[in-house]
Amino acid sequence: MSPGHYLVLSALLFTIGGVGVLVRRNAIVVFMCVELMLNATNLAFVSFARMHGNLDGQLIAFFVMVVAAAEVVVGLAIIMTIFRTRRSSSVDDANLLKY
Amino acid sequence: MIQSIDYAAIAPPLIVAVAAIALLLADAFGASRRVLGLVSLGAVGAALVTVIALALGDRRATFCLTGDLRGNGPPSCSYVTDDFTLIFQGVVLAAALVVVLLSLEEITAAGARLPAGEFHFLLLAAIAGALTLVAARDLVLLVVALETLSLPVFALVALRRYDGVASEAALKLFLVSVISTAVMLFGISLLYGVTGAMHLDRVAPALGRVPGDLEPVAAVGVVMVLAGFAFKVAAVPFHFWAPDVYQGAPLPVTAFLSVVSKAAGFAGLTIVVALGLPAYGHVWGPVLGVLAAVTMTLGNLVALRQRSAIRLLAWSSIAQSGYMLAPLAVGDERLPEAVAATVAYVAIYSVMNIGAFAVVIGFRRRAGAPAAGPAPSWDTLDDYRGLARRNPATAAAMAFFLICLAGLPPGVMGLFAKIVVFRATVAGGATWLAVVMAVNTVIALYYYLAWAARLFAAPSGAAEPPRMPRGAAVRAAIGAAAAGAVVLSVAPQLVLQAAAAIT
Amino acid sequence: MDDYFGSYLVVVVLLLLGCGIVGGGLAANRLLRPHRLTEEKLTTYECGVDPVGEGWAQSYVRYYVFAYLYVVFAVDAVFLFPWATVFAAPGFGTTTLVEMFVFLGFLFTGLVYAGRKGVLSWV
Repeated sequence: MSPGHYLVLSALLFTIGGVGVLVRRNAIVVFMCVELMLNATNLAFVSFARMHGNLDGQLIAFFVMVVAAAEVVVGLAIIMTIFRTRRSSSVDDANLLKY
Repeated sequence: MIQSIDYAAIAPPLIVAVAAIALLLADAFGASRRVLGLVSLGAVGAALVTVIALALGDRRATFCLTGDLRGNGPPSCSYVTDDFTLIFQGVVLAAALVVVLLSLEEITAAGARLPAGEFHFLLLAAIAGALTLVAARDLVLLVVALETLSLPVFALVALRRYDGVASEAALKLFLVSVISTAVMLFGISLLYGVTGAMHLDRVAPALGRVPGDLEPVAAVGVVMVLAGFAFKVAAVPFHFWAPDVYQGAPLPVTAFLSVVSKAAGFAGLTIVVALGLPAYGHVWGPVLGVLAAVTMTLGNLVALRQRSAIRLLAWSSIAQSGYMLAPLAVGDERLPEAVAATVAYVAIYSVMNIGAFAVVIGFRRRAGAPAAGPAPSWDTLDDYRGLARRNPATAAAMAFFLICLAGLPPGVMGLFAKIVVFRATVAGGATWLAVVMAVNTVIALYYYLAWAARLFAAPSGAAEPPRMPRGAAVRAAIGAAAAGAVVLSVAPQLVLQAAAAIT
Repeated sequence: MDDYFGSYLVVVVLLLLGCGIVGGGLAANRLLRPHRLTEEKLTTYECGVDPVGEGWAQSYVRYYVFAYLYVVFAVDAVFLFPWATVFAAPGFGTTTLVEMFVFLGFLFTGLVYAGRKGVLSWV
């Protein structure tokens, strides 16, 4: 099993996440797609670390995990406040601010 | 095996971070709003003093690789306080000081609906992130610092709970930010895959000898990393969060976003492209050039038709981002000069823009607009009519900031900043961009001057804004920004020489 | 490469064997048993009590704060794992131990704050 396979998987996951971000309309689902992108990044980091035989990639993967968790908490809290005032979590309904 | 830590070098972010935690605990144990504000102000001031002390002493670096990991390579320090870092830390802290001053009243006022402890904690945490970001010299620290800067800001924007506009602004900021972070991280993973290093002083030489079949991978990585920073500095096409967030957020937070956050973003962008990616100047140079041209043109054209002061400032600050990006469009050709031009422009922009925000915030307060509310009642440009009669000093300061932003004499510092950017752009061979910039400067004159003229026009009469007691803190903030603007207009070489000396 | 996958062969065989036993048992049961349905038999089995309400149940959203706190603190524990592999190794020692407790102290500060703000009290 060469690192190449993992990289292909990582690129696929990243693309799925990216497409999901663009086409889905529910803020929570958009958010899950972002998490998918971040995890794809982690997979890439770890496989590159394996390829190069140094630990920098694994190190940043830890930080990405923690950053992602912090983002989850802040993001869900924001979605929560929106839901409380609006009873909807669709990004299309967020329309108070216009050009 | 254990890295020794140079505590003097990391003192500025350390002071701010420790103060943030102390504030959080103090708030939990019931300290008064006034005390919290003063501690916050004191921490930022103390950090500014340490930055000045560091600037007078030796240049330091810490968190370097230990001997056995380093091999025969460069020292690879993660945190470096060189001239570049110190200039940006000074700019960030000075602007942060004004932001804290501006927030004092909004937070401490009786009946203020913002939680004081959380506000100051989040603000200081974001400042600590900005201070670390400008000193970071490896990609891991850069990402972590960027997130430390971004995450508290989401919460700050959303801090006015049960206000639909603020939550919506926060959601927009948040989604755009996390997506750009993800894209940037994937770019970093590609760069790491190609080079096998995270420290910029190792990435740069490794990128210079990438085998031919991996070059497209490296190029894609470079472009993806740029996307992350383009969001942070609100460059088109990653700009659309800016006007909405500026309008929806509490005003001191808006000032923070448009000055501190943007300055830190530019510092990060400059660090990455100048120290890490010079070998790929032929890739990121043109990309940044196009971004700069589109950003300044769109920003200025949309700013022309804004009627609300905050949204006008938002679009104008997008346009200003374009000017700041322009020198970097030269790629690796005459890069030091371009970096110096960007640094100088960011420093000068920070002074004049924070001043303009200070006046707008003071005006909103004086006009008695509710601190919350979807439609600020005293925010259109026409409300500024006749300000010169009621408050000559404030109006004069505002007019001066606007003229500086437009780049006309007597706002000499804005003029010099533009000239430096022009010179660097032309010298680097991007003449087309200089032409675009010149056209844009003329467009921008219109709306800056139209606003400045309103200040001195006769009051519209019908709706005279009620006079409210003014706070000393806001006046101090306006005064500090105005003093900075006047000093830099009399002696712009202070910034220009410091910026030129960094390379 | 073959060795790598070869070592998983036992797992695959075991998996197939397990599926076979369970599936075979169910199939044999189905063939041997009588098959007469009544309405009583078709209701959902809920410990012998008559089922009440819908399949969907909403829980109180106010518990989400606990979930958030858990996510943050649980994920911060990832830093403990690499630390645990080295802190006892020669060359690290006390400094490394103290550093980790400083980190845990920061996390604890967050918990103290949450506690003081009344987030942790069960309502």
